[in-house]
Amino acid sequence: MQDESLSIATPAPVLTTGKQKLAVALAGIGILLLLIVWAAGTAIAPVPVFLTALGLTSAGVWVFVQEEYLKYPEGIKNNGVWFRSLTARGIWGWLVGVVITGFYICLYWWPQYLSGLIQLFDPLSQLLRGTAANQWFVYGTLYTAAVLLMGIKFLYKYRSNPYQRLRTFSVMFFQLGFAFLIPGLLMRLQQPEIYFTYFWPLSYYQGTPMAHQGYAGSDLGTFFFFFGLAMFFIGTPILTYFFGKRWYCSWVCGCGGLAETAGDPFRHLSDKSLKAWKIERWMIYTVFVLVVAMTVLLWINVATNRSVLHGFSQMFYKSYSFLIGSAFSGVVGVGFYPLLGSRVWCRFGCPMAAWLGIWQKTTSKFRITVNGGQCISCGNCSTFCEMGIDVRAYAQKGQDVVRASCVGCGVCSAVCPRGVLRLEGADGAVAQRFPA
Amino acid sequence: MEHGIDLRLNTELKAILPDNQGKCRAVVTSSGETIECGFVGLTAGVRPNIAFLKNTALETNLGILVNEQLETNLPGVYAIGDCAELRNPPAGRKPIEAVWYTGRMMGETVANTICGKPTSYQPGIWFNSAKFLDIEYQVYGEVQARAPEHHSAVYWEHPDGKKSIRIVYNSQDGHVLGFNLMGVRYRHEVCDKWLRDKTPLETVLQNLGLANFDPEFYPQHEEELVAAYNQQTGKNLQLKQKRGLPAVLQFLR
Ligand SMILES: Cc1cc2nc3c(=O)[nH]c(=O)nc-3n(C[C@H](O)[C@H](O)[C@H](O)COP(=O)(O)OP(=O)(O)OC[C@H]3O[C@@H](n4cnc5c(N)ncnc54)[C@H](O)[C@@H]3O)c2cc1C
Ligand code: SF4
Ligand code: SF4
Repeated sequence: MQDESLSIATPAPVLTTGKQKLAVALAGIGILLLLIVWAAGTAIAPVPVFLTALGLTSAGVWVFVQEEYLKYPEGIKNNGVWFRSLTARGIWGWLVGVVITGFYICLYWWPQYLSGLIQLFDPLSQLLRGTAANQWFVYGTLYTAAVLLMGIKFLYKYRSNPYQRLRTFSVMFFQLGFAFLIPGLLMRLQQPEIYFTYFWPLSYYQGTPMAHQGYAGSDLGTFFFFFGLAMFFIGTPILTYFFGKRWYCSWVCGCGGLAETAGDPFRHLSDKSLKAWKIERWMIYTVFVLVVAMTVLLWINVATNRSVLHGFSQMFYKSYSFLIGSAFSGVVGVGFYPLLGSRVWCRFGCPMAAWLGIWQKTTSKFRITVNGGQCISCGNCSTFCEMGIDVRAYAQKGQDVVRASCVGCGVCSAVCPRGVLRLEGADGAVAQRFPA
Repeated sequence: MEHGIDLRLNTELKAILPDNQGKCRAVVTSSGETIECGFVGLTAGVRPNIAFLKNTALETNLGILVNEQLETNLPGVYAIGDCAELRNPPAGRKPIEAVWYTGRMMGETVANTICGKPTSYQPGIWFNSAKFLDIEYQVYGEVQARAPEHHSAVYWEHPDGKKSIRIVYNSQDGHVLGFNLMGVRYRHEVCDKWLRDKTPLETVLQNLGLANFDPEFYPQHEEELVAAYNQQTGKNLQLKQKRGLPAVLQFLR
């Protein structure tokens, strides 16, 4: 087709080099192996197949990263994100979205269709946990692998930025240690499988009487039950006061960890409209109210010896875990990365984010300050804000960004070509910076 | 060459050589070097593209002439941005300043005026910024390429050659005149206040942390700049103020 543009630069650049195609093919074969095992429903020679799949995928990612970033000087490159099919809601974006969504649907509701994968991951489960794999182990392993592999990609992309480097090491560390190795080792030691970085209400089960009972007899479990509640009531307000919600959302949390690493190529797909912001506020606080109501009802039910609202509270719990816990946080939250961006759940659903956001908006020192009149309205900050915050609107006015949803990922500040934005902490806002 | 750009410094274009179809074949520089090429881009400066306004009622010179309120000689007709030429520029400013920020401030000024709040154009202290490939650049105040006699500077450069700080001051009475920054971010409001208040260089150096606007966990270079000054002058100045927003708010209040 004749190029209609008068621009000297090619408007639709050739983005993927030959080597990168090879890399995609390598990773593709690795993933295809998993898909075949998934479809076959049974795994032959699980150890070699598992290692081959892991090896090929890692090698593919590695070669791709070398070509994409290391060929060029350090400095953040988002070249062509609106042109690549995968990251611009093209056919590949949809395909990946459908596959991930399908995986989540099987995971939550039809785990019997994952039996092939479960067999494939069994040797690793035996090695780590001393027990047979189930669908959750498959999920946890794939999740951790995604955070680590895509974390490495992220580290190279943002290698010029110490804030991004540290933050990514942190999410990789918490995912590998606290959401994979430690729970596995605890199982091996006949202890409850505890994820120390997931508290109620994100992990809605943790605050329920069922969890409390489940931990009975285990000191560690009981400790964790109260530790989680303490984090909610005391830890969150204090830490958020000093650091903003980022101490959790973009440094520790596993959902955030996946969004920041595997989700990074999709961050520009978040909706920046005012309408999306309105929907966001309604949805996230509704989920928060629901999870609180559900938990309170369950406790009332237990406290009254199952005489009050027994059926209702059980049904409430079941519906919540189906609709919010599974469909929203998993299927939509991750499956729709390539369509709606990487933080759909964090932005529209997560009750922990709602709670952190309330403290961030009302009491926290955390804010993003704007450097005087230096903004050139380019819009990079808004484009790459995964939470869909129109950062530019603040920057143009020289106004501090104080938003409940900001996860403090610092990417707006990193991609700004004029160094206009700084994440920092202090009491006092714009009015004090520019006295009338 | 890191970015595939091969720079020739301290030389100029002398001639463009044609091939036998009259297309460019090579350029010759004033140092006598011939460089083969298939394409020549000339980007020496900008000037208002107002040829189509000549011979109209609009008064023009190099640009469209405007008064303090950015109004042309025709009442109710305004000109702003690269094409505007101030009849009476504020002290120390040029009649045409073809940069983005002046364009924006002019836009704000005219917007105020036509919304019923007559406003004169007051650009304040000069500032600008750019990004040269991966290196950010900021300037506040006066940093001249050919510095007048009474302008001196403290200069620090990172060993990797990708960061530098230059603070220009008046060597007669010692107050700061300008900041030039490569790969380092300084806080606009703080530099602006220092410049407005004609702050002594040594006060600025001791409080340099106030200006630091680099993201968290970035290395801080204030100590190194103070050391560069001490080395230059044989003094023993100490950095007193590290970076941090609370101190900045205190300072700006
Ligand atoms: C390569 C380059 C790099 C720069 N880098 C920086 C920088 O780092 N920092 C900085 O502060 N500034 C920079 N500038 C300057 C800055 O871009 C300009 O000052 C600013 O864009 C001017 O805005 P403007 O609206 O006045 O004019 P323009 O943006 O030039 O807008 C004028 C518009 O008028 C249109 N036009 C012209 N003639 C006609 C006509 N007859 N009829 C209808 N429309 C017409 C043009 O098509 C154009 O859209 C740079 C400029 C260039 C060229
Ligand atoms: S505003 Fe900036 S720091 Fe906050 S979520 Fe958006 S990109 Fe991240
Ligand atoms: S990225 Fe920077 S310059 Fe661009 S709109 Fe945002 S704050 Fe302004």
